Amino acid sequence: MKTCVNPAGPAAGEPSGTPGRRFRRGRTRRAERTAAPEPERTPAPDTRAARRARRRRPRPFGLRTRLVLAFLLVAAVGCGTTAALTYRAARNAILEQTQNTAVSAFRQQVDDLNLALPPDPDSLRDALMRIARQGKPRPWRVYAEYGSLRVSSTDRPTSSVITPELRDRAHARTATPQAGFQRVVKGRVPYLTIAVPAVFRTDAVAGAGQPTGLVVYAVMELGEEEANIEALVTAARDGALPALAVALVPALIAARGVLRPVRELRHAAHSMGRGRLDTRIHAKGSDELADLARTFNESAAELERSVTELRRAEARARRFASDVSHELRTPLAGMLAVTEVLDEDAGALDSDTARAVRLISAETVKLAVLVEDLMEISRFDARAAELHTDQVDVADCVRRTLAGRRWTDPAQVVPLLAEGVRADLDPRRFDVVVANLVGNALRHGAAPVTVRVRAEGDTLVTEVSDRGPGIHPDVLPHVFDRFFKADPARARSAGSGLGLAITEENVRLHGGTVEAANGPEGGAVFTVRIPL
Amino acid sequence: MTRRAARLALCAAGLLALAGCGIRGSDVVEAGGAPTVVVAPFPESRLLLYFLGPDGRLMPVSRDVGRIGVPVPTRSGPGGDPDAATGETVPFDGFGQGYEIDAGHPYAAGIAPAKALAALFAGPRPPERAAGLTTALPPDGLRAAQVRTDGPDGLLIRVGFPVRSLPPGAVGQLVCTMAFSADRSGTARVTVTGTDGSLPASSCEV
Repeated sequence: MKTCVNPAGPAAGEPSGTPGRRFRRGRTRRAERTAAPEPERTPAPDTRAARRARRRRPRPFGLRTRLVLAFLLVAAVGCGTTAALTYRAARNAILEQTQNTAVSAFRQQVDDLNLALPPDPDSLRDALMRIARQGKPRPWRVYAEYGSLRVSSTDRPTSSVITPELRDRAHARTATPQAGFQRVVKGRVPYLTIAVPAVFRTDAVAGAGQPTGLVVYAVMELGEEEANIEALVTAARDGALPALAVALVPALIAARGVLRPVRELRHAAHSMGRGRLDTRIHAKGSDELADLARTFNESAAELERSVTELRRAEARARRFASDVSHELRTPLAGMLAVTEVLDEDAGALDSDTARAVRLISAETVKLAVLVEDLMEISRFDARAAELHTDQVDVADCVRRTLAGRRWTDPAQVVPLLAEGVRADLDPRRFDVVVANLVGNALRHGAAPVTVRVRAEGDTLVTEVSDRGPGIHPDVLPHVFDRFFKADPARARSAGSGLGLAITEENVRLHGGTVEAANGPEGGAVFTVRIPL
Repeated sequence: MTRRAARLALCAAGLLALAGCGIRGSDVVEAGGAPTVVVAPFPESRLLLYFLGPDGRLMPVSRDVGRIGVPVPTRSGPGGDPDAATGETVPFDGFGQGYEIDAGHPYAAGIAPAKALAALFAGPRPPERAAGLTTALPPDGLRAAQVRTDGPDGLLIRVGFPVRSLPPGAVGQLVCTMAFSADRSGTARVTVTGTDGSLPASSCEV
């Protein structure tokens, strides 16, 4: 470890931005000019990882999912509608054909009946069994009713499948008796029930014959038809599933076609955000996404142009300030040498002349300080300031700073330094920070100024507090501004107006923060936090 | 998200409905006219009577009167127009011109309605009763009953009991039996007269 080097500082109570660098010229100046105005900032590795994670994370309702779902939905609706309509038409056709066949065949069979009234049960049963055998498309079960007489082709005289509605309709005595049928589902088995009221012919010219009071029913299971219809459903389903699978392909292709330009656009926007203003997208095609890409390219070009212009103007302004300081430094050096000589000889001059000479000498020194501070600030602005860190003992460092400025009177400056705190610091810049803060406190606050140094966790905290009136809350946010004067009436002060700005830049170069506040017992408190 | 879920649910419900529905029940569907059966015995040899079924409806009953082969004339004038009947002679049924018989012939009028009326008042026979048939006419109504076929409005039936309080079924029995006994078309109008006056003339409405 190195001990804290105390550079040759300026006179006590004269905080300065660039101790030990006064009036050096040439090399630094060129270095400042050639320094890159805006070094490429690479994003922190953690944000890049986060972005990659975000890209890889599957999105439950991203564009791709939505497109695929929409395609599948359309395909499903299309397939479903087609299948449903086809199914309905086919089912109705199957049922209609069966029903028509059965009804007309049944009517024909009943037409052939020859019976007495009231019918003889035995012969009627024979007739019914004959009809049942000849049922179309399949054998029926046939039931007959006349009065309270019940005869059937089976071993049960009546059927539980026949509904009262059908019976009522068949027994109704309308002008023209009508045959009727009904589909009944009983115990999950579908039946077709047909009821025909038998009439007999009279010689009446009009009318459809006189009712005999006999009603004949036929009952047929529709199991075969149901099987056919089930087959239709199966066919519809088997057709729809491959259609859905096929619909996935255009869905994915469409999603890719949309997502690729979007992804390119996102990458380009990212890259622009990271400062690569020359990023452009390959825009092809004539769709809306290509239009978007072209607009992006135009905007990027425009942005690049104006940013370049701004940078150029900024660089010009910076270089001007730097050049002015440099140009002023040479005559000032001469003037300083002369005023020192004049100062020494002032005692021999008459009193008015001596006062004038001393005033010129003091102002020249101030001017030199101002120029040095300006150069330091422009170095920060040009990002040409470099940090040369060393492991140093902080307490030692602060003591040297105070001693170097001759702030050794305990009535003026009280050092409360934690011993043994070591930190990676640029000793020269830390010296500037402490000297500027203490000098500022002595100049604007009131003695005694307390300097505290301690380590809080992995942070080095340096605190400079005074016993002055403190800083007005309105002024607090601006104390680090350049040439900021807390009291506008006090146009002239001992400082250059850049001391706190330089302090802040130096702390920031260390990766730390400096803040101004008012202490609980009054007086301003400046706290510098630098990571150890 | 809710809307999409609802749409998906709807879709699924539709598919399920499509897959789930096979043959469903239906209402009663009209399926054309009733079949015409042949009622034995042949019209020439049967007597058609109307009794009441268990549900109160008129039920026809055909009885064999053993006249197979004997032609029964229908009231029709020359050219087959029933309204143009002039009365003197009527053609035999099925034989037409040249086979007319005298209007006063027993087959032409009178006998059959009187017989039918007697059979009707006698009530259903055992096999008919076994089929649930009943009569609503008074059992001794045949006394003082008269049938005239030459009324101003079709048949005239005079019975010896009050008719205004008769149930509609009983009147229907009388009217239909008489109408079908007068001729085989059953379209004749019948006026029933009882001890308390006449009912309006009506035809058989089963």
